[in-house]
Amino acid sequence: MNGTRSAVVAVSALILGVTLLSGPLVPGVTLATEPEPVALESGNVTVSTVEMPDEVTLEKGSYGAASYYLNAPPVRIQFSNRTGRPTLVYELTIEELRYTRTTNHFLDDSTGDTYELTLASDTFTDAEIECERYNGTVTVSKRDGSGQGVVATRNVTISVVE
Amino acid sequence: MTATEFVGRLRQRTTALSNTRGNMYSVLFGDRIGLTVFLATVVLFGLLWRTAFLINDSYTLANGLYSLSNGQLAMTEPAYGPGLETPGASSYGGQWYARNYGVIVLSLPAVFVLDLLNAVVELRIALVALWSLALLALAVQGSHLTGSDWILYGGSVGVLGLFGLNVALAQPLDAGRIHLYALQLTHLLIAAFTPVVLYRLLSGMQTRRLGLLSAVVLTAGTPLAFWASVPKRHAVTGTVVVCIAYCLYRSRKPTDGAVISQRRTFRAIAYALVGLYAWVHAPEALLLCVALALVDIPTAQDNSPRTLARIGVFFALSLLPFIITNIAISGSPIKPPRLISGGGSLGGNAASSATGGGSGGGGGSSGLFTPLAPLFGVVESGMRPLLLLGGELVSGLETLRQQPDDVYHAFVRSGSARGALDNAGEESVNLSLLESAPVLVAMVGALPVVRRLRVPSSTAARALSADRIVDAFAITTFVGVVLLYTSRLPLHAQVTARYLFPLYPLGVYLFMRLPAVRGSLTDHWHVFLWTVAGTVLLGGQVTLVFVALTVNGIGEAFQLHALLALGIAVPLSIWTLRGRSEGVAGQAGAVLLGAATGVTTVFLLLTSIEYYALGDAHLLPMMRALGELLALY
Repeated sequence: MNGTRSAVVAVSALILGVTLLSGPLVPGVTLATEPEPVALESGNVTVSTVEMPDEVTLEKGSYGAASYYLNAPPVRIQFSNRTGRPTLVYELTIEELRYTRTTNHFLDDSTGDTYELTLASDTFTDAEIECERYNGTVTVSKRDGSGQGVVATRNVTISVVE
Repeated sequence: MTATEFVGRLRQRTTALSNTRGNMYSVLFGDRIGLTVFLATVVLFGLLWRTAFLINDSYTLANGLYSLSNGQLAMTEPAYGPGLETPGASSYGGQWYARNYGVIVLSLPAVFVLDLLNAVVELRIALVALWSLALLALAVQGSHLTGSDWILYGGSVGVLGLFGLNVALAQPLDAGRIHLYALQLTHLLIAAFTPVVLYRLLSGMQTRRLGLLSAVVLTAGTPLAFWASVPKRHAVTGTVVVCIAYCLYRSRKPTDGAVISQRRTFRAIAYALVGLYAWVHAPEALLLCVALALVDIPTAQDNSPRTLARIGVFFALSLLPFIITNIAISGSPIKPPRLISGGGSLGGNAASSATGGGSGGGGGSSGLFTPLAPLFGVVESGMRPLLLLGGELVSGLETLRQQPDDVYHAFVRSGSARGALDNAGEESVNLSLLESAPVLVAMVGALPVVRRLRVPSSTAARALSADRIVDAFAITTFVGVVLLYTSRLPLHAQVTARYLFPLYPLGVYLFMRLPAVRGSLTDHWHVFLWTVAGTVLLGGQVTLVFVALTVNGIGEAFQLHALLALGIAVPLSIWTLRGRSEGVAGQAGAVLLGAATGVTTVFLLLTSIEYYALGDAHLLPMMRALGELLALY
């Protein structure tokens, strides 16, 4: 048996062997593991300062895309106390469009003392956008071991940028 | 039987078996390069495979396969998706039926194999192992082709490393969606034959090198890889069209294979492919049938009644699965699952003139001709679809004339086309044909070539060569597909003008036939390949930065790729219009073709990893990890 042939046979055998290991034929070996579920909304979070955005925009898509993109600046947050895995929620409501968007942020030990809470972008079609500006509300709330609560809320103007 | 006789027979059987293996190999792949193309394509498709539903229509197929694998033709329970009434499903006698039964039946063995694997090993690891073995086989073929053992040694180490990485990152694969995986596997394997057969076709007509390069352009420069693992008809259509072209070519050339010794057999196979494809998507099969007959019959040397009858019998036999399925479902041989029914998945929009729904199929004869009724039925059955197809083509022609804007949006620049918006109010993610595959713009190079063509004076010279006959078939089918779908485009949920999918392989074939492209790629193939690699590796990173910095959503990202594609299509079209391949012009052509191919590859990679990651459902754990790492908007 020459070198190349034995290399191919060895690699194939190894792959097949490992594959067989993964099945019920060999109990006790788990090769594919589910990610560990984490206990969310645990611990405690206290916010010392919140910097809410002044202006939210709906921008016409660049590169000729046929949509408007929601562009909400992040909320800057400073914690005075943060333990466990609390959740922070950024919520934007535009009454006239009957629109609400929320983005959840799951904090953990790697989070620093300050945090930029973002709102995921979204799109609107040409037909949905009729005015030049809308009134909306930004709300920041938290969910942790001690329950749910509103951290801050503010009225904002949503301006349409062509 | 004496002992010696027995041994003698056994020997014969063994040689016959090894012959069968050799024959299978040459029928499927042709030669070693064909096999290498196949393996490389499968490895690429495996990289981009996401084990999730990209499009609602696939629920119908998955539920159909689920029911069929349990022995039921009608869909019994919605194992996948929101219910049985998913796009493409049709209701007869109170029961819901799927469509594309051809691929559903073809996927049954895959269900069986996956069930078996799932019983013995972890499905994710099994599929990762299969992918790794395909990669190893690719390394083996690569080392055979280049004569270098180091490719094999390096490849072995690489395969082991990747396998180890994938196993380390692996999470279990949901074994409850085996029917989806089976469909994806079948589609992916069928799609992998498109470049293989294109390679065989063009290496027969021109050179092996050009054949191989055309396979590269098709795989890397068109959205084939995007649709390969999507359970829809598109990838299948592409393969069928190329196979028909190949059979047509072989039917005009002296045979040299061990399996098929007569040319007319290839002719019959071409029609049989059409018949079998009807089992997947009848309207397109009808179009292919018309295109094939239009080109084949006038150019054939032998149209004796006997030959035509033989082909007719072959064709009729190939239609049997389609007809039997239809009779089992609706009681009429030609009534859907789908005949001419708007060609698409979209209830409202595409349910145009011809949804074969209400009006009766074969039984519309009056009492006067009762004895002749069956005959009338057959004639009517045969004519009705043809008339419907004719109507569709005419309305396509009218659209070309009356709505040039729509045509422009579907073929050249998608942008803010209103009709292209998703009807659910979501952002528009639809590219035009050219934006999806800018390399196709090279087809405009046909203009100067056609202008220079002279009609031969003698009758003998007018007889078309095999190459010209395939050209004629490719052009006819190209025009046919354009006309069939023009009236419906632009439309939502197309992503890369998917209705027009057969145009990608046909277009690549057609522009690879142009003298300038041929000359440029033959002389400067290394420039071409280096440009593709450079565009993907360097251009890909630049694009990534652009997307990360300037893009807010998938619609904008798609439009950025669209503009990049058009940006490269413009100089490429200028080069092909000039039609020169000597010296610097040839090098420039190779660079432009390479860049146009690479731009699409970047789009394909980013689409699979990021834009349509489908919840990071990649089959390969390493691709999932990559998708999780990248968060561009």
